[in-house]
Amino acid sequence: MASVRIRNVAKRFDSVVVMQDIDLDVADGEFIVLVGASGCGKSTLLRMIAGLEAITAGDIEIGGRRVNDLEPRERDVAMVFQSYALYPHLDVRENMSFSLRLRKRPDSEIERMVGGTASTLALDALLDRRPRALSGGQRQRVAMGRAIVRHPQLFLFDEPLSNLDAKLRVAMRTEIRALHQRLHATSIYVTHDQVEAMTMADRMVVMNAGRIEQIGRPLDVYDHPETLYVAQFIGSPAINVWRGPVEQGTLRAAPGATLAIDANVPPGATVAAAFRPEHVEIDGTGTIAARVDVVETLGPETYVYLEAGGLPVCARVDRTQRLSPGDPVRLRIAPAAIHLFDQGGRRLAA
Amino acid sequence: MATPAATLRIPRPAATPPLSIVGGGRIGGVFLVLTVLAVLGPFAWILVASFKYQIAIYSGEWPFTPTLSNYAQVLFGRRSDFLGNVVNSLVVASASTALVLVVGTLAAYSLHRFRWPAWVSAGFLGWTLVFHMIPVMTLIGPWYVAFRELGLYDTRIALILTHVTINLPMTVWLMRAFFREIPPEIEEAALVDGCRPLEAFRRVTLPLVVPGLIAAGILAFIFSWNEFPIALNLTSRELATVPVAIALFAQQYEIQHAQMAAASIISTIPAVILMALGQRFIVRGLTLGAVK
Repeated sequence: MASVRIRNVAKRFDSVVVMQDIDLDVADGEFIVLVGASGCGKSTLLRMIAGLEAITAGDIEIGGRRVNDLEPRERDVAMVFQSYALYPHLDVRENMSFSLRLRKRPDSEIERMVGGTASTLALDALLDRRPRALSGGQRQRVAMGRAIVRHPQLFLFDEPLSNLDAKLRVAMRTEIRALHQRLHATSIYVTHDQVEAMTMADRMVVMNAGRIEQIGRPLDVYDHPETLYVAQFIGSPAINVWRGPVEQGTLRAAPGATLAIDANVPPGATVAAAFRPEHVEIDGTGTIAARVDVVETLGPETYVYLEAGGLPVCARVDRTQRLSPGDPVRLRIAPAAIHLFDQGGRRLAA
Repeated sequence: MATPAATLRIPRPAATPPLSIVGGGRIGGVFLVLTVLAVLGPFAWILVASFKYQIAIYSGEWPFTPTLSNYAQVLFGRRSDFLGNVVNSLVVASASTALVLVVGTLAAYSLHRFRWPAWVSAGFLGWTLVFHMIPVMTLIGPWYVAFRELGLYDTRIALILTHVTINLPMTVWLMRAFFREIPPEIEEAALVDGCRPLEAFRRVTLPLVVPGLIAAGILAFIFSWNEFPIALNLTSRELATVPVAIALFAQQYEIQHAQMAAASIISTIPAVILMALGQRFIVRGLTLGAVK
């Protein structure tokens, strides 16, 4: 296993800058998730680490070794692709042993390693099948097995679960996480799914438009988003955002939609106030008058979409609270739960 | 001669609606029968003629007494060198097919895989198309002069090179379609797994385009086997290929119809066998990428 250092990495296609000033340190054995909307550069970054994409500037080190100019095969990394990219003309056993054979390991050792990995992933019965005779979930396992069997320094995952159905995806998510806890293999995992990022990552890296917005442990990122983009990207349903000028400790987003702010904001400055649905209390003594638009019951919890002074608000409430569309209610939002961002989307110091 | 008869066996794609809808029932059926007759009729006539004595062909005798003497004379007759012609054809067709597969596959892979500037790939593909579009007769004159100068006139090498040239466009275009079907991640997975680029091509990409190689190979072989004008002009009697030899049964004072028919039938055998073995690859190859 190995640590990874990424310093000032940039990527340009001709004159178009797609990535700039990427700095990232991955500790030995850490599970890092790169997350962001499609086109944010997360897959490109992963491919640059793998050596499938050249870097325009900067340095990448794997296990203390600068790999900028090394071929993919010399980097000792294993990659799981979104499409799995199994070799269609080889059976599962040959797929898994492909890299070991290239390394000219003795047959007995290959047999032992493939057998061990196959039983870990419950692939024993499928070893003689071709990929086309496997289900999506089985192919996914084979792709994982092909990576694991090599004992590489670094695992790279490029949206490996996005082709699976929702149920299987949740199961595999847990399985990959359990596998990581057992192997302690340094892993970099790319996904656009913030739930995957939250649940799997030791630390997550939120990317946007070729830049890193924030790096941190999932709950830290959730509780203390550094930018408005991160606040809006992480969390479902999305965080509520109201914009408006602040005067005398009050943000006026719209007539009837005001928030008490307990931060030092220059008077008259326009800010964005973001607060999560779980921090919106529906309470008869609240300060904001609102009306219920839509009620979504999910079972353990209920989401209520409301309108206050013409602005939309989402609240997460207990299922015992009975609300119907059209009900007038009052809302309370604790000042401590409000994140403030300037017009550039940067967090304002509390 | 063999090609039209054999290609007609291509099965209808599954998605095509039943014939009754396409052709409006009876009329469609009539057209189908007419087409089949138009293609198979001449072939059947030659097949029958190959079992007749020359005199029976002239007299139009029916029914007739079948004979194998035409085949015996063509294959083993003292005046016939037909087996030699078959050997010539086999050598030329095999060698030109092997060569065009190597050149065409590598060219197609390069065009597909490496980021050539647009003018290079477009220029190359356009240039190969030229050879496909202009009449072969236009090229034969220059080739005749060129090969005479090079001392290659009346050699198999000359014929092989010209057949490679003629077959190259089809091979490149066909193989490109097959390479395009392979997701790039498969090759990338091989690179990450430890392959050098050439190894990834040999171990992963090439095995996946074997159906394409079969299709392109069969088409190239059959073309070369059937090719007449170039072979006629660039070789003498000694190195004549099968089509040329068949034509030589028609001499100035005598046309040996019966032996000509027998030779024709023999000449169709390799093509028919190849088409029967490989038609599913050819159908797939020619329609590849047409629909998702």
